[in-house]
Amino acid sequence: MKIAVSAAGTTIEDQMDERFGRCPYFLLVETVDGVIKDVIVTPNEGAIEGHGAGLKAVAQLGELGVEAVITGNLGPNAFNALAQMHISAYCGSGYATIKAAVEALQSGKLPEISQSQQAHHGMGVN
Amino acid sequence: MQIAVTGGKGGTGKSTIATALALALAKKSRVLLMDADADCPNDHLLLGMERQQIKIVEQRIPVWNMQTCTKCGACGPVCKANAIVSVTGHEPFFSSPQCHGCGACAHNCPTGAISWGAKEIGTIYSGKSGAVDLLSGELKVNEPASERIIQEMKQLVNQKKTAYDHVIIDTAAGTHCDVIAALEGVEHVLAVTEPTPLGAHDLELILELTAAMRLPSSIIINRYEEGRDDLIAPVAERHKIEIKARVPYSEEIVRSYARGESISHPVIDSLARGLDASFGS
Repeated sequence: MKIAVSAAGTTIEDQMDERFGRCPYFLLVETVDGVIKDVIVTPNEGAIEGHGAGLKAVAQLGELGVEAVITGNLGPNAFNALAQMHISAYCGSGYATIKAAVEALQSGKLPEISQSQQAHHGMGVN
Repeated sequence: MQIAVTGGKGGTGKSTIATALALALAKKSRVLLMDADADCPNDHLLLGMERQQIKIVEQRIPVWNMQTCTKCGACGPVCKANAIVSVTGHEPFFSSPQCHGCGACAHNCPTGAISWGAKEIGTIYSGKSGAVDLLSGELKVNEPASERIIQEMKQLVNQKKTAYDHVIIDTAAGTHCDVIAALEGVEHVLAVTEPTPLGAHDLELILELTAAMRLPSSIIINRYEEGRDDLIAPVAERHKIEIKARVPYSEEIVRSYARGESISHPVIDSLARGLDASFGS
C-alpha cells in the first residue's frame, strides 16, 4: 500500500504536519502486509502556491499512485478531489511520529476523515 | 472624452475626486460615471443613489464531455489557477471558484473533450443622480476575475457613448488586471495621489503603468498642504507629467467624506472647466 503523510520534517521519526495543502513535505511510505518497506520524501508542490494549494497537492499525490493519505485537516477542495481520485484520507492527529501514525493505520486504528475542515489560506507558512 | 481617475495607492481620494468631477462636468455636459472598482464599488454611496441591477456578468468555465475525455491527465497541469486536478486514469476534478476562464485546459485537451459553460461572477448596476448617470460593477466575493466585470461595463459604455459628452472611469487601487482593463482606451488619465511617501511611491507605479500603456496622464494631489510640493513634484518632474490640480486638505471635505457624501470645491470646478475645454465634444 502506498501512503502519503503530510510531514513537518523529512524522516518517519518527524512529526506529521496537521495541514495537508500547506505542509512542507510528503513522506511516501510503501507498506507490504502492514510492514514499512520503503520511505521516500518529496516536497509538497502545493505549499508555495498562492491559491489552490490543496488541489495541487492532490494532483501530485495522484500522479505518484498514492492510495491513502494521513493528515490532520483537509480543506473542502482537497477533500472532494481526493475522493474523486479514489484516495482515502485518514486523520493521524495525536501520534508522536509519522511512523507511529502509519503503524496505527496499518492496525486499523486511524479514523477516516469523513468531512472537510476549514481551508488554510495564504502562502507557505500559517 | 473618456477620462480615467486612478492613482495606485488606495484611499487617496479617487472616488471622491471622480464623483466630484462628474458632478462638476454635469453642470453643462452629459456625464456617465463608471465605477470600475468592482471589488469595492462606492460611487453610488457618495452620490446617494439607489442602484438598479441591469446585467449579470458571467465567466466561461470548462465542461468535460466524459464520452470523449480519455482521462489522460493533460488538462490539470496547464491550469495556473490550480482549479483542475487531473490524474491519469481518473475523471478530472474541477473547482469552479478558482477558474479565471483562461482556456488553457481546453487548448491542451487532445480529444477536444472540453467545451464551455458559465458561472456568475458579478453584477452591473445603473443609477442616476441629477445629471450624472452611473454604471457600477460588483464582483462576487471569492471570484478572481474582476477585469471581466470591467470589460463588460466598457462594452455597455461603448454602446451608449454617443449619449454622453464625458465618461469618467473611476478605477480600483493598484496596478493589476482590473485597473489595466479600466485604463484601456481612455483619452486621459488623472492619477490621484496624496503628499505622503506612500502616495509618492504608488504614484510612481501607476505612472509606470500609464507610460507602458502610452496613455496621456496628469497628476492630481489630494489633501494638498500649501508649500508641500517636496514629495510629489519630483515624481512629476521625473516622469514629465503635469500636476493638473491641487485639492487642498480641508476639514469640510473630510466631514463630507465621513458622511458618505460627494464634495464640491472650486479647484474641482476649475479642473472640470479645463478638461471640458481640452476634451469637450
